[in-house]
Amino acid sequence: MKSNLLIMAAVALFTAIVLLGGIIVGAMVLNKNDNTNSTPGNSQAVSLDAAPPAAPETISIPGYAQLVMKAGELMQDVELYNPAGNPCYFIISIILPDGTEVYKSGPINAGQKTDVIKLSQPLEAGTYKDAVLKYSTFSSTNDEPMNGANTKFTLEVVE
Amino acid sequence: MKKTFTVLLLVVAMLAMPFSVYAADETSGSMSVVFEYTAPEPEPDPEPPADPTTYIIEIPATVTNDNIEHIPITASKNTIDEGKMVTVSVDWDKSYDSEGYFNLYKDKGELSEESIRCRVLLYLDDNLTEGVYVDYFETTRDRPLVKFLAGETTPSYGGHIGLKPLVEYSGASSGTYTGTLYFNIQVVDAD
Repeated sequence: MKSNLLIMAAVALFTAIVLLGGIIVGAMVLNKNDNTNSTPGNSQAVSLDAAPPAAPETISIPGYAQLVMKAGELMQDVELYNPAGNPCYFIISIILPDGTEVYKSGPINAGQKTDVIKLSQPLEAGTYKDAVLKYSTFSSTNDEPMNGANTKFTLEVVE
Repeated sequence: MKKTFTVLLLVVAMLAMPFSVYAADETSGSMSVVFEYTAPEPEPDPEPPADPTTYIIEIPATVTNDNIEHIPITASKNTIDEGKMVTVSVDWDKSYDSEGYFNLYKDKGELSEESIRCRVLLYLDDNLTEGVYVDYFETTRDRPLVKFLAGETTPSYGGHIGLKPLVEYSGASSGTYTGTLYFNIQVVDAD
């Protein structure tokens, strides 16, 4: 009788241990599954807001009312620049009202500027109304031509 | 041997013992040092170089058949003189073909080149409900697409263009077609 009681107690203890272990293991497995569901790659658990529509890509074209140069000199202090953020590089030409191109830049990347430019010919003193800054633009990623612009300005050439 | 050890022990003990040295005529005192220091004013940030530009116009970077319905032209800076305005128009000769039309191309310059002719439309209102074509007819050459009065970055006129591809006549195959528009930007007397 006494030995039966001992056996029953041992079985009860064993059962309790097994149940407790099962509960712990079960909890761990459930927790692991929850973590798995929250990983970014799982489309079931992650709801992504729709990406906002991309704004149309634009090119900023700087305009000048007037540029001043020195007569009879090839080297001129002229600042031409490509605004930061543009998706392209510029090649800028300066064209006199009679159509003569007196300057053509190399590639000017977004955020870069010139401090000094070299004309192809010296200029005579005077006021050149409706001179043109011609902006040719090319994609920074694949060199493809992009939309361009001509801006008219007054070129003052002083002695 | 024992003597040597004793000597060494004494030397070590002497070296380890802290000791003080007193002058014969002991005096003591203290001195307060007060030094007034005025930190120089921090150098002001250097003046940014004067920006010689008087306006900045934002034009669309490219034109493809994905974004042709509405192409805005905007300004982000405008410091032109009072009584003037900035206008933007299409550079007709560089943008249009010999018949005065704009074209979108696929595989331009290759044997497989295809093109789609487009009409260029200037919208007359912000709701994009009315418009006029600014191509083909010579009378529309140099017509402003947008006007910005002095100091304004909101257009007083225009600012929205669109392209209408004439696909029903093109016979072109599916794909992405791109084109390049050139704009003339100038400062003129305000209307």
